[in-house]
Amino acid sequence: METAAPADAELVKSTIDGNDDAFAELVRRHKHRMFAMASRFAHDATQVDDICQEIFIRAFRNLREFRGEAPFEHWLARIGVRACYDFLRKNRRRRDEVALDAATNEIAIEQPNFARELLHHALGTLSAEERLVITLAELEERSAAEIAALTGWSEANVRVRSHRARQHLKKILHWHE
Amino acid sequence: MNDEELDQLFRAARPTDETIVRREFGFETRLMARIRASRDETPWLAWALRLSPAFLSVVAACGWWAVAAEKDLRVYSAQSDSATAVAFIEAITGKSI
Repeated sequence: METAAPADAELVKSTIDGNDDAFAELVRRHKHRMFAMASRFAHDATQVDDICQEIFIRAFRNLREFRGEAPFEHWLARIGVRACYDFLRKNRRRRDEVALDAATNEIAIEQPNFARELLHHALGTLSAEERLVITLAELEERSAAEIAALTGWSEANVRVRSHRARQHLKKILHWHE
Repeated sequence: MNDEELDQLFRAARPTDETIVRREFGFETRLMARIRASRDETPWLAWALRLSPAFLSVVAACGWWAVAAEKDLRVYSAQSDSATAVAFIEAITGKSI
């Protein structure tokens, strides 16, 4: 007879009691979502790995703060968003580094790798707050309410930042007729 | 660029599952090794940080005691000086004060 897999809350308690394997199991269960999130903010594999390590190390150090009122995945997602935001603040590019033309824009729509490269350069010109919001909204496809819950910002603030980010990106990525 | 074109670009740029799965490979092994290594490296630092409030309290208490003791010493010294002066004068004059 198979025993049911322990719930996340049980694994958290077991980790706090000193069982490292319990935390490794939590990491296995939730790493895909964190990698997916980090992949929307970071350009290369090393940066994505660094962000994810930071997320889970922060989670490990603060496990006692997890009260179990909401799913572990939501608690971890908030840590993930904060880690991605910290990454954006440390790695903000200068505004004058982007040089794009109409031909580049056309190719990007057809080729995903090129699209990511192009978007990465354009997103790098946004403030960390705008980049965080637009990435969560457009690449993670989260609603304004979800973004507000993850970041701690008001929904109004999220919508304003998202709008400003879109306007800025349209200006950077403008088509030449 | 208009909104529709920007939306197309976002759709094209969303990372694929295949890319993500490749990046995850061996992650928990690396992570747990790093957690264990950081735990083993700095136990003395963790203890130092935990004990620092107690240490600061001891330093504050010693400082307070030193100030209080100095005040007592001044009073004692003044009294001793007065007693010594009186004894000296009595010895020279032969009269008691």
